[in-house]
Amino acid sequence: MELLRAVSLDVAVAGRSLLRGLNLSVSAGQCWALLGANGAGKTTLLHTLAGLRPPQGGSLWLQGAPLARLPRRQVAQRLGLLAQDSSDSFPATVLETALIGRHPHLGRWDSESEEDVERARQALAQVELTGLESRPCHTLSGGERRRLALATLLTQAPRLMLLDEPTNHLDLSHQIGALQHLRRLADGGEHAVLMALHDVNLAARYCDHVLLLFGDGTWQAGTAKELLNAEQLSRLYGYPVAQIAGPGGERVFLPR
Amino acid sequence: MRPALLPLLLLLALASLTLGLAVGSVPVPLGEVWPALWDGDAPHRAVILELRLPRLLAAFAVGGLLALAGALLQVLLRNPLADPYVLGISGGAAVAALLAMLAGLGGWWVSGGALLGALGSMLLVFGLAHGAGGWTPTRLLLTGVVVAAAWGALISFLLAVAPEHNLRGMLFWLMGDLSHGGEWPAPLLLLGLALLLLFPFARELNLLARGEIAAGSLGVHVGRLRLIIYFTASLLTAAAVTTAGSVGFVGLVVPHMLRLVAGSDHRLLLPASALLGGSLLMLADTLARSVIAPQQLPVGVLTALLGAPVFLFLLRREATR
Repeated sequence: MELLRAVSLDVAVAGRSLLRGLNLSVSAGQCWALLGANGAGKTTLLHTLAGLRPPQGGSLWLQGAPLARLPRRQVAQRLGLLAQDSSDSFPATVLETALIGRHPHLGRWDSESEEDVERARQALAQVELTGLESRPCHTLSGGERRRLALATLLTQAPRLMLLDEPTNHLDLSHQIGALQHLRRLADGGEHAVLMALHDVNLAARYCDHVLLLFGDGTWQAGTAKELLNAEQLSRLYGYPVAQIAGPGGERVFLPR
Repeated sequence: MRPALLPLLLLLALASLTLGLAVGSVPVPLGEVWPALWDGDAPHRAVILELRLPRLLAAFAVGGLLALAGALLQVLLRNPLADPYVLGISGGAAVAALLAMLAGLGGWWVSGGALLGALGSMLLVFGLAHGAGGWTPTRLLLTGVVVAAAWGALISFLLAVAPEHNLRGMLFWLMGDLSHGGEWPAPLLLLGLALLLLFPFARELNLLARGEIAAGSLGVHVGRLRLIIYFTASLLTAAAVTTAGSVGFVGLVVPHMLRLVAGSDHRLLLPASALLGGSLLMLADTLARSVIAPQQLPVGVLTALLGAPVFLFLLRREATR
C-alpha cells in the first residue's frame, strides 16, 4: 500500500533551490535511506514531507489524502518524525517524554490510559531504556536521549516513520539495534521508514531503497541495488569512494 | 505526591485567606473569622466583609492571573526566565496609568488607562514581531524586550517631570499595590474562565514546550496555539496590572517553582500556578499591610522578598538531588 506520494515537489530554503521536481512513492514494507552531503536539504525535505513547511511547488499525498489539507492531528496519526535534535527546556521524566507520542491518538479532553502507558513502556523496552522511566531527561546521556526520542516515535506508532539521522550519538550496538528494529517494522508490511543517514554502509545494510540529494536541485530515487555504487556515492559526496566486498560478500564503501 | 498537590495548594489558599482576614489593625481571633462571614451579628463582620475580604480576593485573583500568564509565556518563549512583563505589557499599562495620574485623574481613569495601555502594547509587540513573516520565539522575545525598554524610558521620564505630590502614588503603582484595590469580581471571573478555556489545550502546551518541530510532528497546530497563548497571556497580564499595578516576581517564580517540584505537565501546572500565585499574593499583601502598620508597603516589595529565598532554596535542592 502506498503511504506517501510526492508529485513534482520543489523544495527551497532561503531562496536556494534544494530539490526540483521530486517524484517519490513510499509504500508499506519499504525502508528508504535519504543520502546527501551536508546542506543538501535532507532535513528540509523531511520537514516538508512531514507537512511542517510548505513546498515551493508540487503536491504531497498521505495515504491518498492531500497532506496540506489534512488536520495536523490526522497527519500525526499516520506519519511521525524523529527530529535531528530534541531539546528539553523544561524538566520531564523519561516515561512522560515517551508518553507524548500518544498525543495524536487522544482527544482534547482525554488523558493517557493504562494502555497508553503500557505502549510507552514497551517502546522504552525496545530501545533498552527499561528501568529509567522515572529519571529526569536532563540526566540522560546523548545516546540515551536519542533512544528516548526514538521510543517516543515508536509510541506514536505511525505507519510512515521519517527519521532525521536516527543513529546520531548512538554507539555501534545501539545503531544496529535501532536500525534492526526499524527494518523489522518495515518487514512486518504495515510500516514504511524513510531516514536520513550519513553512514552509507548502514544504509546499504538495512535499506532497500535510496533517495540521493545532490544539493543542486537534482536527485535520484530507486532501489539500493542499482543506486548504491562507488560512482554515484563519489558524485554525491564530492569525494572518491571505493567499493569492496565484505566478509559475507556484501557491498562495503570506503572513502579513498 | 503529584495528585495530592492540588488539594494541598487549595488548603494553602484557604489558610492564607483565613490569615489575611484575621490580621490587621483590628485583629480578629482565627476561630471567629469564618463564623463572621455567615453570622450577621458578629462583631468584626464589617471589617472582614467590607475591607479585608474584597482586598484578599483581589490579591488572589491578581496573583493567580500573573502566575498563569507567566506559565503560558514561559512555554510560548520556550524560556524558563520569561515573566508576564517581559513583553512590555506592564510597561504600556504603566505609561498610560502614570499619565492619568499626572493629569490629576484618579480611580477609573487610572485602571482604564492601564488596561488600554496594556492592550495597546500587546498589539504593538504582536504587530512588530509578526510584521515581516517569521514569528520565532526569539524574535518575539527581542521585540518585547526592546518595546519594554522603551516603555521603561518613558516611565523614567514621567517620574522625572512629575510634581512632588504625585510621586508617591506613582511609585506605589509601579511597585504593585492593592491598598485601593477591591475590584475583585472581574479579575477573579477572568481567572476562572481562563483556567477552563486553557485546560483542553494543556497537553498541547506540554508538546509546544518541547519545540515547534516536536509539537508540529505530533499533531499540534503550532501557529494557532501560539496565537491563543499570546493573546490569553496578554489579557491575563493586562487584567492583573489594571487591578494592582505591576506586582513583580509572582509570574516568574510561581510557575518555575512548581516545575521544580511537580514537573512540567501543564494539566497540573496551570491550576497549581493559579492557586499558588493567588496564595502567595494574599500572604504578601497581608504582610504588606501589617509589618510596619499603620504604614502600608506596596505588595510588590513583599512578593520579591518572600519569593526570592524560597526560589533559591528550591534551586539548591534541585542541584544537590
